[in-house]
Amino acid sequence: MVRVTGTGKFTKAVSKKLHVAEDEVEDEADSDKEKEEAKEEVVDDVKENADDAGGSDGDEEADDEDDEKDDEDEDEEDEDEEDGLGDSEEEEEEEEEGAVKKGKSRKRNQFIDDAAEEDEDDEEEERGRKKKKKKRTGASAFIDDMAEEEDADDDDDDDDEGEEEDLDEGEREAVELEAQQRIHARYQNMENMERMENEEELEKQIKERYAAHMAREFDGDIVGSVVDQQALHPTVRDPKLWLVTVKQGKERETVVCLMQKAINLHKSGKGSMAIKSACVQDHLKSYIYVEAERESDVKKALQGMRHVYHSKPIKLVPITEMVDSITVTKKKVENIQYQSWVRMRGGVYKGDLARVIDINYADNQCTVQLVPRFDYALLQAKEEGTAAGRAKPNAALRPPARLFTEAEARKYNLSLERGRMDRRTGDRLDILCGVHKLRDGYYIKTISMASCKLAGEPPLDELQRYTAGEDAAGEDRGEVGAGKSTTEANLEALAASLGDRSASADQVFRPGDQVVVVKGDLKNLTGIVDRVMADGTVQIKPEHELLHDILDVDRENLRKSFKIGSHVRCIEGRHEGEAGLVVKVEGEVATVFSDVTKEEFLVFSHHLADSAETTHRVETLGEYGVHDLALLKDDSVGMLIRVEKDAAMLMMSTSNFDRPDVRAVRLHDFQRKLYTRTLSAVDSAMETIEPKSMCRIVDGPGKGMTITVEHIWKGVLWGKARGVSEHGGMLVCRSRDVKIHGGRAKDPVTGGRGFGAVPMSPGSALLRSPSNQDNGGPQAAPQRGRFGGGAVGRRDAGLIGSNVKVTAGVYKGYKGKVVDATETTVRVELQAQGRTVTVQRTQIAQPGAAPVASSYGAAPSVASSVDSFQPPARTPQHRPTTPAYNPGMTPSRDDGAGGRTPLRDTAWGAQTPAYDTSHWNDDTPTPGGESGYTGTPDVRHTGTPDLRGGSSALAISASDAGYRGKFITGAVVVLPGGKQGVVRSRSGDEVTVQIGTLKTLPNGETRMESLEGDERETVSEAELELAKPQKKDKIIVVEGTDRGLGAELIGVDNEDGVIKMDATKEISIYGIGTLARIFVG
Amino acid sequence: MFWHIKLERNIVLEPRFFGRNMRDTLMQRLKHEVEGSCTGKHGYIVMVTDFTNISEGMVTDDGTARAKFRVEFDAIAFRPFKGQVLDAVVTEVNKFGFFAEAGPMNLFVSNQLISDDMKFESIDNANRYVSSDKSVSVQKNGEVRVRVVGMRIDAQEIFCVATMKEDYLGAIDQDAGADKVADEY
Repeated sequence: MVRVTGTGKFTKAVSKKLHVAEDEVEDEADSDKEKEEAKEEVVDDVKENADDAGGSDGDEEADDEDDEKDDEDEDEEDEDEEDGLGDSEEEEEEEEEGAVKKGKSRKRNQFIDDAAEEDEDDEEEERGRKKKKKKRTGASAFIDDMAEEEDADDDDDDDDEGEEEDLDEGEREAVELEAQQRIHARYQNMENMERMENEEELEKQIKERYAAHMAREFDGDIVGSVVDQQALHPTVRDPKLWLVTVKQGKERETVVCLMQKAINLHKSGKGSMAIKSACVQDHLKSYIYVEAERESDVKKALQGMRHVYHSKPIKLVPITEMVDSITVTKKKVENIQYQSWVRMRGGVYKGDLARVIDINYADNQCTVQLVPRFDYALLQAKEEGTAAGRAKPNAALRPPARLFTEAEARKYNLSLERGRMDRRTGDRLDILCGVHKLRDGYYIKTISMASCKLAGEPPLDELQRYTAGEDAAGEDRGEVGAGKSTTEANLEALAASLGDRSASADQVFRPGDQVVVVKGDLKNLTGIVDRVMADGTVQIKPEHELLHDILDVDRENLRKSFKIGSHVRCIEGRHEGEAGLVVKVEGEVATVFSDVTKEEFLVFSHHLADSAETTHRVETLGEYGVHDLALLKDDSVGMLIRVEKDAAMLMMSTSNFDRPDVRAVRLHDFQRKLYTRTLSAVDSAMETIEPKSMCRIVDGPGKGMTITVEHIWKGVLWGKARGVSEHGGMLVCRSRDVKIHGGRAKDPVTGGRGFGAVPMSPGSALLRSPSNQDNGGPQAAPQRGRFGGGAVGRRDAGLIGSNVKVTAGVYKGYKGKVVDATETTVRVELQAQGRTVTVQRTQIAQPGAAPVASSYGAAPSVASSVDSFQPPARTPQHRPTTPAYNPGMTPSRDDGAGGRTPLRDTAWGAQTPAYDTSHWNDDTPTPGGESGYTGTPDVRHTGTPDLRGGSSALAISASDAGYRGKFITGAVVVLPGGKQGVVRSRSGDEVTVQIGTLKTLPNGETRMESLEGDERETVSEAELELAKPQKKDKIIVVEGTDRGLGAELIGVDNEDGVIKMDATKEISIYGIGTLARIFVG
Repeated sequence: MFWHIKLERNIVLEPRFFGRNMRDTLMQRLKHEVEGSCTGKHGYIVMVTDFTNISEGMVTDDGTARAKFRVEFDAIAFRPFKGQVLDAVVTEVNKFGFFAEAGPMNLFVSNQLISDDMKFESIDNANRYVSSDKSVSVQKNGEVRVRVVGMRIDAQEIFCVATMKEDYLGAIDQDAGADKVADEY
């Protein structure tokens, strides 16, 4: 902090505080100049000092002055007789302390101390400017004279101007006189210097000089510091603190300018500014504080300052915040030092670990050693001048970090200058392409200190990567860790690079830890920690035949020791929480074979703790443990395969055997844990897979592997496979690609899962469909006896792969390929959109085929599940000529699934118990498919003629097969009495009609609106007429080549009807008499 | 180390197995449940050798009509110990070391615990450790003799870390191992 102070009470208070702080600081860091600079310094009454300092480096000088001043305080008292000597010593110190200082300052330094001391004096008591001047000629004649000498030119200029402008003769004379006096004083000063040898005089002089100062110091001690501080707190009567907005980065400069302005004003005798002080806080960007009574004073003082935003308001700092706002809190300065580990901030090397090998605080630069990330191809291109303006190196596509080898340079034909002496590092370096400095394969780069940051303790593996091949540099390196000698050398290098820090006090011992003494008389003694004392000593129980007593050992002299094979847990660092078996211990570093990942990692032994012999799975992240299945926020599902410090590695459901999709997920991305204990899936043979089942992968990648299923989720299995070492042996596969070991049906011992599936009731055998024995084939799947529900997940392989069209719902009109089908839904891969959607089975149709709907008929289990049983015979809809129709398969009793259900053969009808006529003694449906059908009453109950699910395609119903007449089942007919009804069944010439209610339309025609009740009449066919269909009615053509086709009447032209065929969407014209209206309710 | 021990276990049987062959079913189920299982105390149960006693069945009280039987049996158990020398068959070799199985138990030999003159080499995805004079190699399906140095006993398995860096340890039965590899490729 730079501060210009007048006589403000408040600033005095704070400065006092600061002095205390500074003293502490200096104790700590005498040698380190930089530190002090970072710390805020105070220069009191800089008006004088600035005469010396002047300009923008005033602050730096001020710092120096302060340092010296403090030194002097102590030194001079002892060696006051040797002022001159003391001064020269100071000079030497100065030079030692840093090359920072320029020769220029040397001359001045002689006088600075004095100046500082005098400042103290001045600050102590308030007094007028004149008095000050007077004094100056006495005690510290040096300073001002010298200072004024330096500034003489400027001052003279100023004065000259002044003269010309407004000074009258007398005044001019006065000025001249003053100038003469000044010159005189200088000579006097020189004389003084000559007289320096006179020790007595010198002593006197110094005593005189410091008398006041010492007195003050004494005073300070007497007055209690607390009370003092309290008294010094600002009150309403004191000057106020104003916050001024300045250009960012120019805060210091502005304050120094203010100081200079004050000096100049003072010099020119134009009176002073009304502000008391100005200061800047380094952490506060674009603001400075000004202490003044009034805002106008501040404004006046800031007039003409370059970097001040005059348009911005000047804010008053509340009195309560004043102290806080300019109190300097000593923050711990992170210092980049020689040999510190740093991380790069940007560019290709962003985040990379580097080591500082040279540092220049003055230039704010450091030289670091990096593992190079050269894009050799690019370098080559540049070298050959063919670099086609390639964009800046992309950080995302950055080249891998590899140590440089000569082979590489040769490979890319790059120029390499060997062993050039580098001035900065004083070392021999190789130069690649004339630009890149290299040493031992590392890239030596000089960077600004701002472009790197301190790295703290780098993780071991990273360090290892960094040090990898340090010894092997130059030769062609193999894979990291492949050569044992390399690794060992690395470890040593690591231990060296970490220094003694790791072995020191930051170790934590817990009772029961195995330790070894590494220092002192008891070196190499092993023992077990008994107690850890508060003062840092550790009581150990030695493992030695002659030592039985508990020993106190300093923590620093102990190190944890682990025997090979012991089971440990990492309690700190990157591998925190991981447990494993110790494979190797070498000094500080242990190699641990992880339980979970089945890989080795290196850790510091002081990061390890003994783990109980049995592992408790505490590898958790929140509630998620290793091998748990979790649902993420983005609805993806994955299994935790490893837990790290703050993230878990998840194997996602989208993984493949050969392409595992493993992601690091943080806790806040988790949605919830999934419990899959009770879930199951079906394998390729439709056997049930449950967690812990053993399966063999029979299809896709990983074929032949055997896995133990850990989790099941939506047809995806997570399993543990032997012989897979990655990801802890976990892999993901689809349930359809596996086959369960020893299908459960064949294994009476394992039975089913628990009670639910075990007892097959005797009835189940009866209920079992005949196709179980007869058919097999694709229908085999659903044949297992099921008890109630559970239809979900059952696959209908028959439909998979076929092309369908969606007939309803949001995807209406889309065409696609069926990728999966169950009884109720199908997954359709849409052609147009390239995605897969789930559609109800009732909402799809196979173009050119009968509509595909729920396959009620498909599963013989229908017989046992009464719920799903549907009245067999339905409205005639099926066209026997549908291409999908296998002539051998008769149309089913419902709307179309029969097309692929080989149920309706005679064998079925005869054998299925459910179809035993005795169960259905009224209106028993005759299995529909028999040709030569002669109209058994078709309709049972009140069943609405079908067209279930709004399926728009019509076709002639099964019960009409072979019927050649007009009055097909479902047609609306007019009875002799004018009544209308719907044909339900026929028997020879007799037609049974269900009578409906009529409505008279505006055009005078009557139309059957609805069917109510169950009133039926049986009429001979000759007496019937087809009801005349109206526009938009669903009709079926009952004559001609298109007989049986469903259509919609879109218009009537006299005796002709214009129809649009359901299947082909073609428009045709038929005589109205050949169109039978189908009642759709 | 193998042990012949007496053990007891409860077996629950569904009613459909009640009847003539119940005893057989019980034995079958016991074998199915016990053989291959692993406990920290006894290690792996390798084989059930004899049924010494089967108690009367008690129908459980949970409404399922299942019956519980207490079966006493003799079994051979495999329980490894620290320091034990085992022969094992290598199942996988990678740069960290190799995995091997000794009967039902998996073990791992780190490359730190393989003698220093054996180097990892990988040719056509066939990983192996070869001694400097090429006379000894450890590859998949090869047989090795190792000493257990550490153990982790889980609920379901025992896992060992073993060393091959001692006298009298190392690859054994070289020819057979090589033959097996030859067979495989």
